[in-house]
Amino acid sequence: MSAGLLIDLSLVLMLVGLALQVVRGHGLFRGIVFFVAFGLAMALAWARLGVPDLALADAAIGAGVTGALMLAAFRRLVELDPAQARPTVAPHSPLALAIALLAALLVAVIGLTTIGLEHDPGRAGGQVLERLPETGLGNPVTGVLLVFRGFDTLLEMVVLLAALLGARIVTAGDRVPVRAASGEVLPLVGSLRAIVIPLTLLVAVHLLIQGADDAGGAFQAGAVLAAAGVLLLLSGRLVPSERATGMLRFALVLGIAAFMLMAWWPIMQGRGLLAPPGKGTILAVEAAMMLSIGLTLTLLFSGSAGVRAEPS
Amino acid sequence: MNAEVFVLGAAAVFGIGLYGLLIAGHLMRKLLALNLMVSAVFLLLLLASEPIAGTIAGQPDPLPQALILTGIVIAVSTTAFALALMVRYFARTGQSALDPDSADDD
Repeated sequence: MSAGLLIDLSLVLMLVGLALQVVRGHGLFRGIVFFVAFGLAMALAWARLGVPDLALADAAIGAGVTGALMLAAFRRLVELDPAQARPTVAPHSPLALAIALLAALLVAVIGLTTIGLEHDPGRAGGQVLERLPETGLGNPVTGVLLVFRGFDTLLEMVVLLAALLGARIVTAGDRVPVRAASGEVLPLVGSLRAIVIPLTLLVAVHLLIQGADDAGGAFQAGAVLAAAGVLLLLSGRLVPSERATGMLRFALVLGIAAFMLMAWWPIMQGRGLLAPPGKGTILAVEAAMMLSIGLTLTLLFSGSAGVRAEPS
Repeated sequence: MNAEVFVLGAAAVFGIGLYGLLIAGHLMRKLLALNLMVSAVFLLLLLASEPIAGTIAGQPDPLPQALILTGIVIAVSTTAFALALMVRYFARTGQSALDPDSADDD
């Protein structure tokens, strides 16, 4: 057995084991924690499969942001009813087991069939690599996201904003905002924050700029930015507020606005909708997207209309 | 890289996710299980593509990667919205499951 196969096998076994724990583990809290671990294992699997963009995205968004949102929702449940924190176990069901086994079998057959298929040599992926130099980008994934399938990404930004607006509409009347800090002043939090926040911002900007030519991009960078926002909320430096300032609303739609400007600008010049912009324009639009994504995810975590800075 | 190993793993995770979705009473458990299934589908989507021939070191197809990246962001958006719905539902009714009879693990 080769070392490569051994690594793949242990990775897959880890994924399956963690997934089992998410489903069968005692209590909701354990389930969420194992889900975050599963997300990180997925990131390892992506890295092993040679797709670092997805590894970064799954680590930052799939594990990090989703986990943070789950834990925030869990805390709200426990605040409403402390009994929610009790460890429990889901019942066993032979029928569900049979259905799940059949579904897994079906998925395995489909998967094993597709990996054996002949691929069309002229398919879109090859054309992306061929025409990538026209965009001035080095990372084909960023090229697809921002140029070749830019419309998808624009609508993806709208979906993110719609999720925030929907969540606001649903919870607006409930008055169960996340309490920012426990009230007591922890002596080490301030200095930890002073080290971690600048580093987080550095990583976010680095991911953004690196994304033009290498693994990274606006979504990964935005998720890292959101991590900084979550940390500031948890340590009480940012507090949820029930009023969104004009500035904050502007920042929320900045990414979509910049993207639409990039789409329309070539029309004004008589070229065409979403004609390939230069690398500088793409980076500027991505920077705007990063800000909007980071802020949207932070607000989804805080569950409030806005956030404001609290002088420490 | 052994695509078959990952395909079987993805199929197993999909099955586990579906099982969790079926047995869970608590809505948040259902969401966790759904997210597992989403991850399995992403894994299969990538495995179904193959490296572009004629490139240095067999570059992976960028198109499915971009689709999965979009999918990851959409998944977190819908999860966030679903969590907000769940918290609201719980605050109003005190129920953590849609069917009160199956409120087993709360």
